Amino acid sequence: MKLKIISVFQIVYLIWQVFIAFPNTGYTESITTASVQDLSRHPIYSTYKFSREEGVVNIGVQPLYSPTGFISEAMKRDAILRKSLSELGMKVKFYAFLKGDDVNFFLRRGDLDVGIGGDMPAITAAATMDVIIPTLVQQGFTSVIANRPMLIGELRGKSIGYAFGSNAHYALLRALSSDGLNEKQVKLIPVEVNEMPEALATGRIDAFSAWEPTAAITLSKYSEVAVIHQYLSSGYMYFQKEFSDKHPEIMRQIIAAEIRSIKWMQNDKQNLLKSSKWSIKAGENLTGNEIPLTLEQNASLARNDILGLSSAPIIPKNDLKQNGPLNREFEFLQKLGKIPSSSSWKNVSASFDRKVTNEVLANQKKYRLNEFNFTFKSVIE
Amino acid sequence: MNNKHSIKNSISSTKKEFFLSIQARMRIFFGLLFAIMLVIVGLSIMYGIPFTPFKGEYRQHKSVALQKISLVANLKKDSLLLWMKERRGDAEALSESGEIRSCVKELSTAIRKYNASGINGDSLWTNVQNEKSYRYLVQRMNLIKDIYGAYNRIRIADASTGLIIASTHNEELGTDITNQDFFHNALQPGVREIIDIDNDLSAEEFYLYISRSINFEDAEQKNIAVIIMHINPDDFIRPMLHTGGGLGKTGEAILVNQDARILTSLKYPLADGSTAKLLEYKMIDKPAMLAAHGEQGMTVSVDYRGEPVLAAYRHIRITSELGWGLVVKTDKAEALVAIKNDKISFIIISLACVLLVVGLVTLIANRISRPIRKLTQTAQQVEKGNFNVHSSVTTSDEIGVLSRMFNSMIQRINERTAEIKTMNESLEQRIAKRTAELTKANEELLKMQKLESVGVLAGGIAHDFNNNLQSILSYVTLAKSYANPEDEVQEKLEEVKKLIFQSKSLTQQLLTFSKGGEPVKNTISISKLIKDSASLSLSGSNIRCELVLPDCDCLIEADKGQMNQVFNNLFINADHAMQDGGNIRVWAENINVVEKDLLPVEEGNYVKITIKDHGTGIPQKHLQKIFDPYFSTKQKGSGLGLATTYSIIKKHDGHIDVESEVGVGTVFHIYLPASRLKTQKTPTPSKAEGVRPEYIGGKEASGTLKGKVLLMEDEDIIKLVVTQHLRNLEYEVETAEEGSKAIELYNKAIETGKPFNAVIMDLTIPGGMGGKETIERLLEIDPEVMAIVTSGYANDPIMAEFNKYGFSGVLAKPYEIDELDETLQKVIMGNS
Repeated sequence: MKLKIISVFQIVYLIWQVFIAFPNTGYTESITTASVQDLSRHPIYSTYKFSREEGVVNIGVQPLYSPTGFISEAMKRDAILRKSLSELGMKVKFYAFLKGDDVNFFLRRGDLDVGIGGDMPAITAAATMDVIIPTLVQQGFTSVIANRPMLIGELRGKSIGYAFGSNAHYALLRALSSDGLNEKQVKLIPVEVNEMPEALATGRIDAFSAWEPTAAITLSKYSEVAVIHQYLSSGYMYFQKEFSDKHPEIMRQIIAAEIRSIKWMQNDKQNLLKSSKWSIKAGENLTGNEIPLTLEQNASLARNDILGLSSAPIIPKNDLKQNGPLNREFEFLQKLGKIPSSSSWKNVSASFDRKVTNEVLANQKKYRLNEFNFTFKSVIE
Repeated sequence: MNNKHSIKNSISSTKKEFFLSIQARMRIFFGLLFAIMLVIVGLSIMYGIPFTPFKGEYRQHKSVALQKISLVANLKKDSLLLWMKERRGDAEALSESGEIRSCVKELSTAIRKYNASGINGDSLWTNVQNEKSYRYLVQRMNLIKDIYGAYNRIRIADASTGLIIASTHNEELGTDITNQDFFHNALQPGVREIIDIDNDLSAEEFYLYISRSINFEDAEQKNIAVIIMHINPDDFIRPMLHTGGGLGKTGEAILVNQDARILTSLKYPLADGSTAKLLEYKMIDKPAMLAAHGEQGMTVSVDYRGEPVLAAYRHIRITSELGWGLVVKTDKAEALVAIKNDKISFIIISLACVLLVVGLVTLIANRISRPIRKLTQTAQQVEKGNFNVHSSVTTSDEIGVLSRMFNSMIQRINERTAEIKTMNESLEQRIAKRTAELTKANEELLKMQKLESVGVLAGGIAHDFNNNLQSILSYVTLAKSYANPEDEVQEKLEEVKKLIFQSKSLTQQLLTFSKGGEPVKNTISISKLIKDSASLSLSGSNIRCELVLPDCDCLIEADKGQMNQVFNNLFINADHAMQDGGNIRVWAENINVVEKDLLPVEEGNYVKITIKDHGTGIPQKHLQKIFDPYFSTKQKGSGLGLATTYSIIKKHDGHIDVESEVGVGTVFHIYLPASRLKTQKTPTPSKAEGVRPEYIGGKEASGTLKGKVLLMEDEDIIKLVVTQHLRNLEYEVETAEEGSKAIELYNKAIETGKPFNAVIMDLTIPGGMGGKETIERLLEIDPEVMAIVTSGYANDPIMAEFNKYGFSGVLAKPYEIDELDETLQKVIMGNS
């Protein structure tokens, strides 16, 4: 009789275990071939007419990448930059992109001379192209947002939206690995960053990984969602090596414009709010969708990141250390095959050049770092 | 040992019976069912239902606990950031203060003057302390230190010399900090502020430094000095992290640097009992590592003690170069105490519910099973053979119906049992009776077999014996005819003849009970027969016979002679049994014998004759043997009397039995088949009795002779003597040794016109044609042939039923001349 009772409990327990375990045996899907998409046919990018003129600097920016969007929008309007470049016989054109990997695509094609991207695109660019990465443009959290509060482990078998090759892609992989998961144990669905909030709300995906302000937009729009993981990612401005070698001063002027922009926004909250407005506008122009964030909310996000720092946008020395965050990311991505196994950390780390920005900072007068004139009428190319 | 084994078996059997009982099975079934349901419900409540939005209490609690710890972590992070912002604000306020800048300038100028005037060493710094600017600076720094309570010390170092020119700790004035990162990094172009953690020069302890350059206000903003704020994280940050609640009893907030080395003391000793040293001990648990590496989230992990914890980890970016990890954790046991309490409550409530259900089921099962038990107990009584029980269950449900049916069944069983008992008793009686009858029948059969075997023997002996007697008689007769009638020899010869006929009588009795001696039946009145027999047998005795006989209805089909013999034997035996005289009571009655009378005779109408004497009686031990041949208790008895009686009765398809008690008397019961004729009719002359008109008219005796006779006999002496006798009796005689000669003579006689009036033929002719075949041939020749069959083999069926074979008369050897004459005359005269 006792054996029978035990058997009954064992059966109930086993059935229960099967029920519990079943969702964990969910389907998996590897990363799509988004990386090999021909982005020249992209509905947004196909409209871009990249200037091939010698005297034009083509810069790829990300308005939807806070706070780099603030910085790039300010730089667009930096009359000092225009004037400095003009004195050097150059013009500058800005092109808006949705994510760093897209910037890399056009950098690789030679359509862009300068790009702004997160750490993963920057490392990828350094590993696959000849670039120089002189300055930091962002240091903030990339978030994994789920449709409800949960642990990372509970993402097993779930659909997760991501932007291939972006910071958020790396942040997601890190998050998954932090709880012993890998990308094969979840269903990764490529989603454009601007579509992620709705995709999550409609249940198309159970979670997504994105940077600001996408995360903030989602949180402000849908109260039930939750940030379940964040990773401190960095953003960089990087130049084609050929371009920087050929136009070192132009590179420095552009870096000076970045520093000026940061200082300008730090100096006065109104400047920050102005930049906030510019970045929202740019984002809306890029996606055609309204960004449901107030200027204050948007500004707050930026303040929390690099704009909240008093220090200059110098690439942290610690980040470039062996076993530092960039080194760990390089090895992680290489292990996953996201960057070629032939590339070496030595070459990649060599692409990060802290001296240039230090030189600019050391010549504040020359680069007019304490002068501010953001009255240039921005032209969105 | 056996007892123990037996007790063990008994207990085992009782246990088995218990578990097989309805009550136990209901308890187990419903108890288990309810328990399983509770477990499922409990597990569902606890862990949710798969594929549904309901995720369960555990997940919810865990989620809430994690969110709570996450919220606390956010608050701690925000607090820390705010605190850091304040500290940076303090440094900025000091470094950007015009008064501070002026005082620093003044102090630097004063120091240079002292140096120029050759005042160095302790005197220099003693003098410095007396400077107004110094006092102001120290006052401001102390004010900051005291108001915010967040600094261990604040110092200002000259940008050009690297010497401390002002400090909240006077003793360190003049200390060179040129090589300290927090000093020279703060003087880098474009850098205004350095925040870092480093060991102090003078001690092993480490500090968080916030260093900021104090610059000229001109366009070049040349560095004048560096102000350094010293903060011991353990003194100021740790208390801040642990205040404000939210951590719970076991909770802890740990701050680590980018290498995950602790910046604040741990709440608990390490797993090995030692105390972790600040900036040396590296946290290797997941939350700390993740937080140090720039990640934020929440997880379930194991902390440095090896305790499971719920942890929220945050990365605190102080500067682009400096980031810390903050781990806010609480023991899982405490965090999920609510779920644990829920579990305990659930288990207690579940157990209570299960007990309640089992109790209720027991009550219900009792209500259901009690009548069943009662019924079962009653059934067990019935099984043990006790039918005098009655189920007391009177409920109106199915069991009540079953009980009533059961009672009804018991009642019917009782009735049937009584019937069966009665039937059994009757059957036993019948069996006993039947057995007795069978025994009796068996005895009868044995008697018959004995008689038959004796009869076979006797028949064979009697045939030859009779033939021999006939020969002796013939010789005696011949001798007598030769002897002088007056001679004494005549008397002797007459004695011989008597002996011959006594011998014949003996053989006759032997033949009677033997197979042969078939009765020659006629319809006769039993009354007359008994009267005649009694008067003859009891003549001259002192016995009085009381006859109770019916008038004329008791007719039987029987051989009168044999019947006479039967009654003679019985009356003689009675006479012998009553030496002192007495009464013999005889009565006859018509009865109808049926199967249940259990008599060894066919069913039908019988005449029952009872002969009762008051003689000495027959001992029980002899009763079974009295009908056996040669059994006699009398000294002169032949032992053939009752055997013959028995044999005759059996040959008449009847039955005789006897009851006797020594000293009381004996009763014989005789059953004889009744004649179909109701009344005794005056015998009508039969064909045989009638005068043969033809014969009497056509076959007249030749001459004066009585008739012409053909004698067929193989024994010469018999042939000679009988021929002589016949001739003496005035018959014309011709003889033949065997059948063919007789036929020849018979034909010849017919042909000559002098046919024989009668033929006397021996039944058995060794080596020649016997009587049976010869009469068949003669009847073919002359259907009206008158033939007499003779034989010493008196038990031959032909002798008993001679008419059936075409004979007109019969003579059993030995026969006398008179008997011969009488028979011959009857045949010739048609009176046979």
